Formats: sequence, structure tokens, C-alpha cells
Amino acid sequence: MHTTGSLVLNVLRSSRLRWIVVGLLAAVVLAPASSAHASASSTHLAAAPVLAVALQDADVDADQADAAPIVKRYGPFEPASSYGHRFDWLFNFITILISVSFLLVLILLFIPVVRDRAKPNKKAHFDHGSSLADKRFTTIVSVTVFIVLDALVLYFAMIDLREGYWNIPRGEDELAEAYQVEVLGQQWAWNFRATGADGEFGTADDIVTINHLTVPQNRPVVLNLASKDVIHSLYIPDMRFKRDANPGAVNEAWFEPIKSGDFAILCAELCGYAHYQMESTLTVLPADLFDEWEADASIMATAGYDEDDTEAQWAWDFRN
Amino acid sequence: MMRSPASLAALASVAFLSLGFAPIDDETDTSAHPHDIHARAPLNVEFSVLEDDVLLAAGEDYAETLFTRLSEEFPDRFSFDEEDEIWSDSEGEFFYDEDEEVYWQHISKEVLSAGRADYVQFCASCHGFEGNGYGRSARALRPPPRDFRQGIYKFAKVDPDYIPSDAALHRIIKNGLHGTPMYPWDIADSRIDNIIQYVKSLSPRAIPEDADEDDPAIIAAIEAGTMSEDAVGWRDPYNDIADRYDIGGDPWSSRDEAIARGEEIYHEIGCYNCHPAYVPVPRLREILGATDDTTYRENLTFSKIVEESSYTVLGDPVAIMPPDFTWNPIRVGATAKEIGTTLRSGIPGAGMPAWDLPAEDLYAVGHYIRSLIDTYQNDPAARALYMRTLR
Repeated sequence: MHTTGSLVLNVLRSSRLRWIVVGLLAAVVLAPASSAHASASSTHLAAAPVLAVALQDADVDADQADAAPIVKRYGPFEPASSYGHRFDWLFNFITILISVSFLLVLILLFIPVVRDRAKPNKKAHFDHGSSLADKRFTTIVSVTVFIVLDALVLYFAMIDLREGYWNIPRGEDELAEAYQVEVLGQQWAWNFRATGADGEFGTADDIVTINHLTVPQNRPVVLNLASKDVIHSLYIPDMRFKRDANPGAVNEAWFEPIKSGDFAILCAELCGYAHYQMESTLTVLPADLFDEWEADASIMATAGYDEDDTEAQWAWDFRN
Repeated sequence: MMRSPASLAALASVAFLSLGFAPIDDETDTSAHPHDIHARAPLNVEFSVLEDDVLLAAGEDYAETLFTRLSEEFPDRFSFDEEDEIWSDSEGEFFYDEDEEVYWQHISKEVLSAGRADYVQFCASCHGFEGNGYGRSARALRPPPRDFRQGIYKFAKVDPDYIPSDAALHRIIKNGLHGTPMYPWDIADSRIDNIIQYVKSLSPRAIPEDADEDDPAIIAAIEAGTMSEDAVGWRDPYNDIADRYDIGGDPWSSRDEAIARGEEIYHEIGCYNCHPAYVPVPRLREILGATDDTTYRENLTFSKIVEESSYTVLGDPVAIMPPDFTWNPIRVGATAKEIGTTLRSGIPGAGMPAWDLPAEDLYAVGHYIRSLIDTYQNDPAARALYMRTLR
């Protein structure tokens, strides 16, 4: 390891290349970062590698086999939530940052290997790089690398977390406008409880569903997550949403769908034997259609409400 | 005084470990529901069953089916006595009970133990360690999981007067119940068979006739649900076993005709009394041949709740909602045949009666309900449009 390090130091110390290298590193990384993040809402860096092949679920019902072709989607899907682009941007940013620095290190390693290879009449020498100039240079490189790589990523990540993921609607007005859902994970299903038409939990018209969540488009969805038994994690890849559901605690999270359609909900925490089967559907409906849906669902929920069955009314023992 | 860093570290780690292993005090557990019957797993879970068991194998009606099948599988083992009309098993696993006139089956403790171990791993989180349906994950789950001590199975699809055969139970586990956490279990068939034998053995025994009513052992057994006034399920010699209904092949050549006929039958036989009606009221009157001033129940396009069910939580029956086929996922109904079979067998313990209709009608209703599911269930826009025409 120290031989590799001293080789790098050698080349950097003995030529003007070092300042070019440091300058390049800073320029390559800082330029796109500052300009792209300023207009993050419209920027999509297109350099993401092919990471995933997603199969839309194929219905195995015999009489539907022809009607449901398997659609293959390559690469990450377009984000369907209002803050989804932030996570895509950060992901691409880190990927490019790491690719560039990795490439630089490879080049710097390659140069001395070629330049200082064995030649007639040239004896190899060994150098720890312990002179003052070496130490100064090492410090400069370390601080630069830390600022450029770690601090920058941390800085942008914190902006995204504060403005996006952690920006949960909590005020009374904000909550009144939001669609509130309580999520109860269990082995092996997701229970959802929405407020229904009256906007309050713990009433007869709470819409309770298993493995199917319907939410309105372009309205924040505020989720309170808990679990009955073990730790689960509600994962909606299209919304760039993931949050743990812990027994004995209520976790808050939110997202705002900007596209309508059906999306997959998965469990992202290994929770037992049938973890892999713990998949649900998220349906996002346009506002007018959603109102109609909610009115119907509330009527059905009220009709199915059993006053004596206190145990089924699980909103919100979990908070107390 | 111990002042050395090593002894301090040792002290600290002992304190930490004893914190970690401090016994859990149930009274200070604030997460527990005031009436929580869904207790956490017992500290010492029993994985083995210590005694062999004897369960009902066949009554008068099922004997021929069962032993014909068994003698095809093991040709030399089973023989039929023409005079007494009794089947006998050379290995003694199945034997005839002359008093009750039924066949019983020995289940070895090895089979039951294997079944119990798999039951604890796969089933107990919902169905409970005692099979009473009060597992930890069953809390607030509606409808609640099956209580295995009742001997009632909603979707075994056998005649409601009979209890389901092993094959019928196997099919439930293998295919799952859609829309509930009862998944299609991807377990080896032999393991499912073991689980079934174990689950059957959870049926309560009858209290012995010579037993003292004040005997604490008897009282404890009744409270634990392992004994009841009369024997239940596979311990009750008055029961008999049946296979799944087979309603035969599809008699309809045109699916559209079947759907049109299915719509008529659905409303003729009165499904709309509990499930929604899917035609406008004038058309409903026309189908039923009713006069123009006939009125029907309120909220005709919504399901009506059924108050009486076999599900009990804390001693109260749990009301359940019949499915709206354009809205709720139905448990077992991937094909028209499945739906027709459910119609034929009814759903015991849920208020759905058995409909003794010819196969043609069963299939017609099956096609009709399947078309409702396919057209509207995953398409809220189409459903909203359609429902507007009905209201």
C-alpha cells in the first residue's frame, strides 16, 4: 500500500501535473454540481447506469393470460412524486462523482507505472514521502478530496432531506389539505386506514383496506406508520419513498404523487418467511375521480362499521 | 477498590448485559391493547406433540371414495369385506368403529410433531400458537383468521353439511385466499400434509361422560379450548367428510351469452339482498317480473353487512361485509369455474348459502361475476361511469 502511495506522491511532486490534476478534479465536480442543483426541478442527468429490470406484475389468472402482457422496463423509472427528482439527481451526482474520482486515481496510478518502469542503468528507490513539502501536499489533497467528495454530497443531501423528505406537512392547515393515512404493517400484509370523507381518524367512515392504498393526485399524502409484530418498511419505488414501520412507535413520512396510475408497494425490511410476497398496490387517482371514489368508499366503510368490535378500530391506540 | 480500566470495563459490560436481559414486565408494556388477546409468543414454544392421535377418516358416505383411492395407491394393503361391507387396512392405520359406524385414522406423533413445527413457523403468527386465531399479527385484522377449533372452513368448497377432506384443505393452503395475508404458501406438499394433520388434531374433544364437572383439569381444558360439550370437527363421529364440489366442464360456448344469462340469474335468485345490484331498478323489476311500484332496500348498489358470522373476537361475533365485485378482491375466484363452485358450496360461517343450481347456471353467474371483476375492479374511472348509470 505504501509503495502505491509513494508512487502517486512521486508523480505529483515531481511535475506540474499535480496542479492540473487538482484543478481538473475541482472543475469537473463543482461545475455541474452548482449549476445543476440550482435548477434541480428540471434537471435529469442522463448518465445513470442500467441498474434494474422491473417486471410489471403479470396476472396469472388463466382466463386473463392473453390480456396482460409482461412489460419490461429497463433502468430506474421516472419519479412519480414531487420530490422524486431530488433523489434521482443526488443518485446521478454521486455516481458521476465517484466515477470521475475513480478514473483519476486509475490515471495517476498508471502514469508512474509507465514512466518509472525498469530501464537500463536506472535503479529503483524507496520513498516514504516524509519531507515537509510531501506532508503539505498530502494535506492539501486530503482536504480537497474531503470537501469535494464528502462535504459536497452531504451538503446537497441535507438540502434534499430538509426541503423534501423531512418537510412533512404538520400544521393544521397543511394537514387539512393533505390526505392522511395510517399504515399498519404485519406479517405479511399492509393495513391502510384513511380518514374517509370527514377527514378524521377513529370514525365510522374510516376507509380500511388491506394491501391496496388509493390516494389523490397532486395532494400531499401524510403517512403514519406502525407495525403489529416485527419491523417492516413501506417502499414505493416510483415515489422514491421508503420508511420503516416499527412496532411500538409511529413514524411519520409523506409524499406527493404527481402522476396517476397504479404503482407497486413493497416491503423493504426482511420480516419473515413470506416477506417476498408482501406486496401491495398504490392507486393514484386524479382529483375528481378520487372524490367520487372516496365518497363510495366512505359509504361502504360506514355500512361495514361494527361499533361493538372495538378491536378493529385500531386508530390510534398506537399513539398512546 | 477496583480502579483498573479492565475491571471497570468488566463492570460496565455486566451492567449493560443485565439491562439487556432484564425480564419483560407485562404491566409496564404500554404498547399492549387494554383487551389484548393477541399476546406475544409464549416463552417456551412447544415444537413437538407427545402422543399419537386418532381422527375421523371417513363416515358412511365418504368411505368408498377414500378407500377406492387408497387401494389404487396401495393395492395390497386395503381389502373389502363383501359380507360386512367393511374396508380393512392390513397396517392398522385406518380402522372401523362398529359403535359409531365410522372409520378412524391413527396419526403418529412424528407426523403431528412435524406438522406442529411447520405450523409454528408459518401459521402461528396469525392463527395463534393454540390455533385459536389470536396470533400476534391477527390483531385488528378483519375478517379475523380462522379459528381451527371450530371445524368450519369458508372456502373448502364442500357441501356445508360435511367437513372438508385433506385434499380440499390442501388446496386452500396451496392457493391462498386472495386479498388477505393468507398467501399461496410455497411449501413442499408433504409439509402441507403434515400441517393439515396437525390442524385437524386441534378439534376439541368431548368432555368424558364420567367426568366430574368441577375437576380443575376439565375446567382448564374447556378454557383452553381443547375440550367442549360435544366433540367438534374430526373428533365428532356424527360428522362425515366430503371432497370439493366438481361442477364439471363449462357448458357455455359463448362467453357473452353466459354473461347475459348470468346477470339475469344473479338478480333472479336474490344475490342483491346482500351483494350490490348491478342493474338499474327498472331492469331489476323487469328481471324479477315485479310491478313498477316495487321498492328495494336502501343503498341497493352497495353491499349489506352480515351481522352473524362464525368469527368471534372476545366472544362477540364479528360482522362481515359481502364483497362488491367491482370493488373488493374476492378470496377464491380466479376463474368462472371457481366462482361457480363457491356458489354451489356456499360459504359456511359467513352467511352465504349453498345454491343448488344446474352447472349451466353456476357457470353463467361465474362468468358474469368474473366479467364485473375484469371490467371494473382495477379501473375506477370505468366503475364510476357504470355506477352513475345505476344510481
